Amino acid sequence: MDQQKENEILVLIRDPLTRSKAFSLLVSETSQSLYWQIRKMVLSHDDANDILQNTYMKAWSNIEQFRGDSKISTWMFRIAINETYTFLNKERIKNQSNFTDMEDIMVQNLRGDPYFSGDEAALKLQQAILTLPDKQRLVFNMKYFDDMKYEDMSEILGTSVGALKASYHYAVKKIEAFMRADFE
Amino acid sequence: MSNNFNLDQPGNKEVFKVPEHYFENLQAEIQHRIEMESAPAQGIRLFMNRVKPVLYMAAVFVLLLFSIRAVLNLTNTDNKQSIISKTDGVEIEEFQETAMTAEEILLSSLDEYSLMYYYINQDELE
Repeated sequence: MDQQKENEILVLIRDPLTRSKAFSLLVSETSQSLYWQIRKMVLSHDDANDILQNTYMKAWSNIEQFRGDSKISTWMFRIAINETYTFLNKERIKNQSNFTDMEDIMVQNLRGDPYFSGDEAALKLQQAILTLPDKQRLVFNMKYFDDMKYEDMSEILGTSVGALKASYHYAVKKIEAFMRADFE
Repeated sequence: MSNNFNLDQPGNKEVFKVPEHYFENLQAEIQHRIEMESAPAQGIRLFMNRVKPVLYMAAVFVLLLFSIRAVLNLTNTDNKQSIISKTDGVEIEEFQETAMTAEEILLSSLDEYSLMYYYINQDELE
């Protein structure tokens, strides 16, 4: 979202009479980028949709507390990431009782997912990405799929640019090693 | 599967799809959810707006009731009947609305001499 739009939304949000309109604008400006970040973490469209909607509901109920210390799009990203982590942790706990790996289930579900059009190699890549810890997976997704600037990632994740570069580098190495091991 | 996997090869990145018109419908869906969640709060607000005048009126009545009671109590205290009876030159004040018995009032009003006289000549006094 460009700075002009950010400012416009910010002005409208401060006025209770225009807050609802501002929020609609915020949804239309951020929904796609947030959705794809969430989707690449949870893989299923239905789960991504639920998390995205919860993200907006949470944002709406806390909108009055938004002080404007950071960009509103950054604030939205943080809520979305927190919601995603919460979802993944809940799923892990749920699957622990079934003695199954959440990551295995996610890959299995992808095979029959009508909204996944990848071939076996793409599926294998998703499997490799799922071996990464959540935060490293997020860093990898942001850089690899969206080509996000490290500076922007740093603002959202609160991690230094250097640490993010190192994290991405190690993620690539791990994924390549996983793919190579599979070919051998 | 090809043996020379390259992370940069095209085709890896666009593998996820969304239902048709998903993003167009999302906006309306979120708006609907916000309205639904705000509805109970709005209901409470509307209910409170209706009830508020009645509550204010009730508060005024309660206040009025307490004020009247307080004024009446004050008047009662002022009008407590002082029945002065003289017994051998001793003034005895009898209160109508006190928990003290007549004997206690008498005793508290008398000096030692009168007290002695009261006990010795109790039969005569009665």
